[in-house]
Amino acid sequence: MHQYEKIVLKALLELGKADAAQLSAKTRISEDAVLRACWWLEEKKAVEINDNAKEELALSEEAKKMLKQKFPEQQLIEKTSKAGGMLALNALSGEEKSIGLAWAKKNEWIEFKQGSITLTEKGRKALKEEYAQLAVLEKIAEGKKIEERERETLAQLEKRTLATKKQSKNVTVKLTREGEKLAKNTTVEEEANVLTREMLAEGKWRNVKLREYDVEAPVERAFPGKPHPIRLLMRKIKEIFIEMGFEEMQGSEVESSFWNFDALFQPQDHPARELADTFYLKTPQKKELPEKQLVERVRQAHEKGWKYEWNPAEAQRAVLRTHTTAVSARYLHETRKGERKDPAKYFSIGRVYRNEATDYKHLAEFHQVEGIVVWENASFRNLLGCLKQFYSKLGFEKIRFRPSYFPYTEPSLEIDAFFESKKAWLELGGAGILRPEVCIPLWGKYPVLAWGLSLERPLMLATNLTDIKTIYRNDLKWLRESKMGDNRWQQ
Amino acid sequence: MATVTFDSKELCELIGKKLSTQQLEETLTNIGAPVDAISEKEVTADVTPDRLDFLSVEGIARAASSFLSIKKGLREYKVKESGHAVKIEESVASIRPFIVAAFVKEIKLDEQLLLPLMHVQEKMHETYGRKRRKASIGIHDADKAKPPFVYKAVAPESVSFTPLDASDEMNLREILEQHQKGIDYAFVLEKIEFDRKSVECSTSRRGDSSMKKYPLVVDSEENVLSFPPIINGELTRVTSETKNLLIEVTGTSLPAVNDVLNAVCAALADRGGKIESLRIGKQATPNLSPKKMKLDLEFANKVLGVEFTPRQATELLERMGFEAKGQKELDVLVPAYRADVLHEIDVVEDIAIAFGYNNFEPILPQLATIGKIAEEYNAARQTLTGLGFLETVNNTLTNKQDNFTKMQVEVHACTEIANPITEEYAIFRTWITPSLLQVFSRNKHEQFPQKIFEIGTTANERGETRKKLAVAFTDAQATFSQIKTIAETLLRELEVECEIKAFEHPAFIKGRSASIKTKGKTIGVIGEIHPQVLENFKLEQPTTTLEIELE
Repeated sequence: MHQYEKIVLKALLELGKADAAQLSAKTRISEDAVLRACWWLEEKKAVEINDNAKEELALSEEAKKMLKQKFPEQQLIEKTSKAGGMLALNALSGEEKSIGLAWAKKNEWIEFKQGSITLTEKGRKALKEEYAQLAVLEKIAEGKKIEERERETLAQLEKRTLATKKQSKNVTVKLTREGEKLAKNTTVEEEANVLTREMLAEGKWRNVKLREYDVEAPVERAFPGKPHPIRLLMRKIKEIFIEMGFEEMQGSEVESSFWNFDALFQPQDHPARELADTFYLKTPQKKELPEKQLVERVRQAHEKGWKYEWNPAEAQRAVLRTHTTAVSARYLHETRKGERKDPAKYFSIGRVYRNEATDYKHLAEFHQVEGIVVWENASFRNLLGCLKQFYSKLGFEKIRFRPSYFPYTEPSLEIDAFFESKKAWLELGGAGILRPEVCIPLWGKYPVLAWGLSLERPLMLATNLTDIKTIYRNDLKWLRESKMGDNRWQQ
Repeated sequence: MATVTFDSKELCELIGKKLSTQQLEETLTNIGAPVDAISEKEVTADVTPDRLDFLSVEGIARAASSFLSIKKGLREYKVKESGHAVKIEESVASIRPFIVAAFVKEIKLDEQLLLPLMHVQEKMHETYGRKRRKASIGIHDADKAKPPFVYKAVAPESVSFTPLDASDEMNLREILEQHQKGIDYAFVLEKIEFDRKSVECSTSRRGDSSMKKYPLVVDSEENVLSFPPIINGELTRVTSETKNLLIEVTGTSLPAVNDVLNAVCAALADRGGKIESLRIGKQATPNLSPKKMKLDLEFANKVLGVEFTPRQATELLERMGFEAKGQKELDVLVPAYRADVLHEIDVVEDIAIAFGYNNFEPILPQLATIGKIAEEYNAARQTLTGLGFLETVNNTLTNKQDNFTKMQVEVHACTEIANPITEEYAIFRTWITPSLLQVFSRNKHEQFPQKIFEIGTTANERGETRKKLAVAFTDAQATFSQIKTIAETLLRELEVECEIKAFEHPAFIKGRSASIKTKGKTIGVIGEIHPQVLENFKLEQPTTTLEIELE
């Protein structure tokens, strides 16, 4: 026998007959557990269970109001009577009109005549008699039994949702004769909730019954400390790059226009350089230009390619970088200077800034992922090869390439991934071969393959986030509920 | 990126083939104008800013028709000399120095053509024309004006004329102040003044407003054709009755005004217009003869990673509207409307587009390199998450109020944005602790204790960025000793030998803050946040924080 069965048996021996609530109070076991124990005992024929369903009637708030001030149809005929047996419709109050009118008509207390109501014979009689609905309502309120002949009136009250029937279950349990015998022969051993150090040290645990728990009962939720979801994605992307043999680059969020734009062949009147797109700095206002020879090479590239007078002052203006390609430009130049070796494969993940109004799709601050291949023998097909590998590792197997334009790459392309769930191609990044006008001044050789994407976009697509602002709002609930599991990157 | 919308049926007619919506969508996407929305009636595509020719339905149709081999190879645009000229006066040199012009004769301008022409004009102004500054177009009824034309600069009140959509004559100042187009675009003329000052152009008569002059195009009888880049005169208004057009493009860049004129002329020529040139100085415009370029086939093949034969390459180039001849070195004729082709590599891209990006076989670079990641402070991150702290990632942009004032710290110089979108994001944060207090203030309804940290970037007033780590704990039971335990645990795990020394800081309760020192250098601060600071951030629980430099 289960411990609970024993306890319930013993309790019934004292109480003889009891309901679940009484048993629960006596045994300090939950009502559910008591009932379960009773069913087991019933199978053993130790108890008899009586399942009495009882009908209870409950009154609505509206009904309680009517108990105090009568029904609207009663008020209506009283008013009409006072007015001499005839009343204009517009003299009625809201409830008299919306509720009273229909019931007074149904009871045949009134008749309509040319926008007015007149009392009928029945109506005059009703003024003097007790109203059946009110009488039943009072009975319910007092808990009195409803007679069979009142059933029809009750049905009306139910229809008006003034009264509702409620089923209440009342289970009573009684010991059988066998049960009584069983109870007398049962001893309930001492039960311990916790295994104590003392029990172990002194060997007492041998004589103690350790209580069995309801292991299926719900428990408290705990939230571990964990990395931010964007960090997990960042880690995943870093792993992909490392697997592909790429080395991480780092650079500063504060850059000169030279590295952010000029070195990348973006003409000085390019729309992306306008105040409406780029954050320029008040402090520091300028950043020093790099060595003269490089500046000169960049100037020549601009003046020859774009045919305008290149202004070094414009290149000095400090900005919050608008893309991480500024970092790639610096690494290329460091390679030319011999500070880094080529061929090489690099990647970076960094914060970038755009002077844009933020909405559910746009942030002023976000992260960009970028990969470059610095190799004289690299080709467009190699770029496509890197992209295919990279996106497939990220979980996007079905991708397509389409021509696009970036000022510093040629050929340029955009990558779309097909989303089965949305049945649509969605843009997931840009790529290209850095233009000779970029590669030659910086690195002295050609070509460099490059691609980039925002870090937030795959996170949003994979987790079905609809508002990008969620990511950096750091709602603790969102952070706590975010999952460490990696499989979300597999579509 | 500009968005253009065309009539699907008209586009197909111009392409010369009836295409299903799917075929049309595929074609436009593959030539570099991805489709946003498409129906039997209309197609909306994104056009990249380099493809000036894609702003008109004629230009897109031209490219699609070559791409689909319906009408491939170079299209010839004949230009006849008109014998007329535009005279440029010296006075425009420092204001808006360039003008080019063309006649388009015998054109049928029904409603179907007139409205789209206006749209193209507007799109070109906004994109390539840099909001009319770099280039703006004036289109006139050529029969209402008498050549030769004169481009000159005049004083604002010296000339009056009736601008388009006005009933009376207005002088130039009145137009800028009262006419809708004047109000919208006066900044372009102002900006010229500003730019002159900023580059200290030697020819400028610096900002002296009494000397201010505005550009004007007039005919031989001093009738005003246009006040560029603001508005044309009513006199030469183009209507559906107009048969011959005069097109003038003015601007601040000679290549840009030529590119725009060429694109417009090519589109109108595709509609049956006969192009005639005007003399501008020693040049005649438009020059619609193709640009000659050399393409080293070996270079193209190496860049693309393929081995196209001269025949294949020639065929592919023809499908992009070029003409090519030769073997190892191809002589390529680039059509005049292709303003985006600057370099050999641009021709290579066109070969790739013609071949189809998705038809290339992707191949990984056969280049063995070793992967390596930069420091990402995982020891600190793992220690803190192990201690039950949640990582947050916050904005680096903030404001002086949150970064300094609310923390009771004196405002000092920092990296500051000149053109912030809102005052809320106007500086680069100098420390992370305020970001974490912000997080707490947004999460007062969540379960306590709240334990968070951030490893992030800060910057000083020289724009030098530094990585820092901040930890914050808030709970009814938060105490100084807890945060000290966290600090010591963290630094022990990071193997940083340090001392924790009493140190006063205005953000913390007096006697409950300390500095973290290593080798005599202060690298961080810990403490229990001052109640005034808690109040400033609307926090209602004791809060302790820790912030250290990571580099």
